[in-house]
Amino acid sequence: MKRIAVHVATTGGPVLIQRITPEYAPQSMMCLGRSSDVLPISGDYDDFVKPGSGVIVREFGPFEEDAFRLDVSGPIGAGRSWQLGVFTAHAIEHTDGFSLCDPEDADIVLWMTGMVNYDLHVRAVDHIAEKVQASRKDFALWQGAGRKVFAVVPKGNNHNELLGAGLPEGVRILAVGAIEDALAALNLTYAPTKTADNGEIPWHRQAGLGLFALVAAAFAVIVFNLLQPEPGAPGPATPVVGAPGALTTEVPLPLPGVAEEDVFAEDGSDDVELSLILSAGEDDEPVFGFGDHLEFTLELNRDAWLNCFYYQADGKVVQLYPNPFVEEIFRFEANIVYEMPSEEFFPFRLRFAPPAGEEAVVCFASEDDLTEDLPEVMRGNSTEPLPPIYAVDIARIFHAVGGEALAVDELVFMVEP
Amino acid sequence: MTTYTLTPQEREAAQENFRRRDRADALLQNTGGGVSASRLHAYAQGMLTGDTQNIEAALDKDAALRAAYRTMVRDAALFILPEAMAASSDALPVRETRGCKVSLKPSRAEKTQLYLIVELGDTTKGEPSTLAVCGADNRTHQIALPPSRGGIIQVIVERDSDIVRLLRDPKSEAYLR
Repeated sequence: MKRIAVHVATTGGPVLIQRITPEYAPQSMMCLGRSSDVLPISGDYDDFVKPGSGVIVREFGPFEEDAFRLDVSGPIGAGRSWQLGVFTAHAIEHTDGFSLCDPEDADIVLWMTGMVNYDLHVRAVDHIAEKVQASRKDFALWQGAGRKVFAVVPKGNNHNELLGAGLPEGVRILAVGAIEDALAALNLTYAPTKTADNGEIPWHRQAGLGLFALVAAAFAVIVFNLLQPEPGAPGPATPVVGAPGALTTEVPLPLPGVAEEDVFAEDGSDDVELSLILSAGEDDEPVFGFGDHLEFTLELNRDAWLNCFYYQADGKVVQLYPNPFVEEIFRFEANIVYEMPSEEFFPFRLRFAPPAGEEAVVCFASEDDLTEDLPEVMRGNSTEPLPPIYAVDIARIFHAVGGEALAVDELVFMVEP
Repeated sequence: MTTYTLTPQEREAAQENFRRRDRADALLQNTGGGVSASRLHAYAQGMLTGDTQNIEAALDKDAALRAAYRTMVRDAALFILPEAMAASSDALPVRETRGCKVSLKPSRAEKTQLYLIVELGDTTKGEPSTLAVCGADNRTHQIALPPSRGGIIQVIVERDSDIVRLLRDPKSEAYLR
């Protein structure tokens, strides 16, 4: 039995989710310390549980009762940052071999904050630094008792805020873009028991919870587009002219990535899986206008080699990194936030140009340099679009040459006039 | 001189209020226990803020005052649920009237607690904020209710609380106001 203590991070300190009990009552309730005191956010919790408005019964039900009583150790104020912890707690209670417990008895201690939307994406929240500050004593207590402690936050800006919040040494960070990321990191799975309205099992349940299963299962429609070089800039990665008449195809894309780690591994283990996080700042789904420059950051949890591709709205795919403007290919170091562009690492700038549409950067990180194992057209020697036969198969090619020692993340954004 | 014109609805509400006040005064002619009719009336309507200990103490001592108070509570009620229905003495009672149902359900998480559930089928009268239950001796216990969600009000009560004891008493009368 894996015992997990789940805490909701609040500005008043961490609040332990003590237990979840199915109840024969019409409404779910969040209660304080097993008492009859009902928290003001109880109605929000009921909405989060109910089918239609919420996700708990949809994901874990149907239940005979369809309502829950969730007991917490302290007050949780307004807002929805409790949703990531509460969803995870429900997943723990729903999975054989896992149980909620107090931190004293836990194999791992989770400190979680993040909103969960109807599509199970994890969204950014406020007050990360204040929540860390309010939890310092508890972090010390948990670590002093030899517990493995994980801070789980939405990827992107919250992750950056957490890195800058002075988290105590030894507290691991999991930055997640979707609920699957958190559950996969905990090895939590739950069986698809309900189907969508169209009779198909929803994608987030089909896909399983391993990142690579997600990569294999997920498809995104990419509309071909154009990426133009900045005049006078060091040069574009790919000064490509889009073909008239947009070509649409289905390209396998990874779903939002995660800093994956075997959270139950012993300390000092080498089993920690490689992870990669791409971020474009505060917005999870940034929007760029024509004339703007592409800027993003990337971070690895282990030293790794990198290959990045740009999926244009006109359907073409160009290799973003490495490319002919990169004089030296090297291994990126762990736990450093690399900025693109930058003179040292990404000596090129990219400017957005018509047509408009959804575009994406997808990066693959590998512990070995895969250059020699990749097809010639994917070795960064050209700024031309990849031949379609390769463009639609990038993920499979990387998995073929990189195996499972591979991390993937994507950054999707809109390009508008 | 200041004049104020009442709408027909305001006039009717004001007249009803004065009628109740008159009735309260009449009820309290031979009692009172140091509690004015207006204060007791406000207390019965759930409109009295601040210290109510003297009223509760007076109600505890004075049977006539309790009878008057019960009448006021009844007058102010949106729903009156006269008697409990239970299949057996051990079963949890259900009270039902037109447009409203009050029931108790056990908590699986805490054996000492019950869910008090108010189901509102008719919200045209307004939404109740208090449940008051009067026993045969006119002793009344009440609890504040949260706003309804989807026509349902749900609160947790202790199984051995006075409100539960009274709700289980078939001779008691429950009022939602």
